[in-house]
Amino acid sequence: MKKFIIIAVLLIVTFSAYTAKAQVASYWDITGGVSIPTGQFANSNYGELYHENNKAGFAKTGYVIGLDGAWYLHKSHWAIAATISYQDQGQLNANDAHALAAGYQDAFDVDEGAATSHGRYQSLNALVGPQYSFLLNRLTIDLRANAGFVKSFSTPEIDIVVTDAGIPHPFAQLSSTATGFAYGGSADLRYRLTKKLGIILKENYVDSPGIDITNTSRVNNAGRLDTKQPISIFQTSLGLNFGF
Amino acid sequence: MIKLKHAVYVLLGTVVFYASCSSKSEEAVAPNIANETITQASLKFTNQANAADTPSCTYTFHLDNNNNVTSVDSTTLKLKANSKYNGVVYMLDQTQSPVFVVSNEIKQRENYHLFFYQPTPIASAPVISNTSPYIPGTPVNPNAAPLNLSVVRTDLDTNNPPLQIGLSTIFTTGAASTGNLRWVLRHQPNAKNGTYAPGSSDLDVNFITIIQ
Repeated sequence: MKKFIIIAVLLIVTFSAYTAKAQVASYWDITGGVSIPTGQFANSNYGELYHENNKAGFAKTGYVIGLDGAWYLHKSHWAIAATISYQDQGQLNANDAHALAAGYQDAFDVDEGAATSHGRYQSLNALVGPQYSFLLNRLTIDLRANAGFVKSFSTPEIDIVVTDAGIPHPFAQLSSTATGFAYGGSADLRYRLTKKLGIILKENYVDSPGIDITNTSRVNNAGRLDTKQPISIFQTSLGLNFGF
Repeated sequence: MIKLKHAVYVLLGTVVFYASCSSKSEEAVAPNIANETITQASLKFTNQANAADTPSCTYTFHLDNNNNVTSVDSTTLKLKANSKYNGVVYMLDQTQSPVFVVSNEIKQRENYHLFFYQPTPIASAPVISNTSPYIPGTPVNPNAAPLNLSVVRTDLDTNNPPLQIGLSTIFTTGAASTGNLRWVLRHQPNAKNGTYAPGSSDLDVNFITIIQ
């Protein structure tokens, strides 16, 4: 940790000294790339009996498209930056449905468990925060911290039917369109091709404590029950950068 | 520049349209599994006024090599008149080695299991509610001498709100009498609401009961 801090400070001082006289210009960019779920959001393990992974999201690697911009404060390398991105984190696959069917079957000790899932994780992130830029001739390095919200357009709906002695007992986890707090950070490399056009490679991390999930027909407290789905994603994207 | 932007928008729009259309359903059914086997079910009591008075009754299922029931036997429950007994359930699966204590499993799965205790004969229909341990529809026989026994469950599960389980009980006896105790374990997956109706029966046995 100490090494990391020392290296980070040295890098900042070096870049600051090198770029002290360089000019920064406000910009916007449009990017697209890969969005990789992490942590519980990516977890596809039902869990053990009595120790179910209630927050397992079964999210998959998907794509992100984003619109991004930064507006520099007067004669400063500091900017106010904002980004809006749309991401798709896929849907449950056959293995996930099997894991859920078997998990609920065991959890309710029934003859048969069946799981059906449809719908995808689709959401919009809107984040704002401070950014600091380091200039190296045509190359610019931007570091940013941001906060905002994630608006879900849909999450996978999961329909479960546990059947015992021929009697079906259905319940469901519904698709969510809830909004939740989100925060994160990003680093990017911008390379200026012309005065007004460049390319950008961006690494972005977004985390949300969760969006509310509604369940129906859950009569008894048993088996996996997801009422708030945490979201954490790493996004790597490439795009075009336009100067104002 | 404008043309380039337009091309990017068209490209992104195409990606979004494709993604929104590419959702499909996944469906899976887990293979059938057998519920736990109950080979022996006992009720064990302790007289609240005399710890040395510990009656019990046991129902035993005898199985063949294919786990089919070949015969059953049960013992008689004998309780003292005008007494209060703390009761507990003890159930075994003796087909497993070591012997599996099913009542411990029921405790872990308490949120969808519910025991019922029905003395018979009864002179009038009992009040049925979601805290009643009695079985609705039990025939009433005003001409027969009733079994003077009342039962209350004393344990609660972790549902919200909590519901009774019936692994522990208090049996209160009245005057000397004879009859039967029907003992039922209901398995109510995602359906337990305190009443008898939902689900199916994992156990349904009778004990001859003598209050003396």
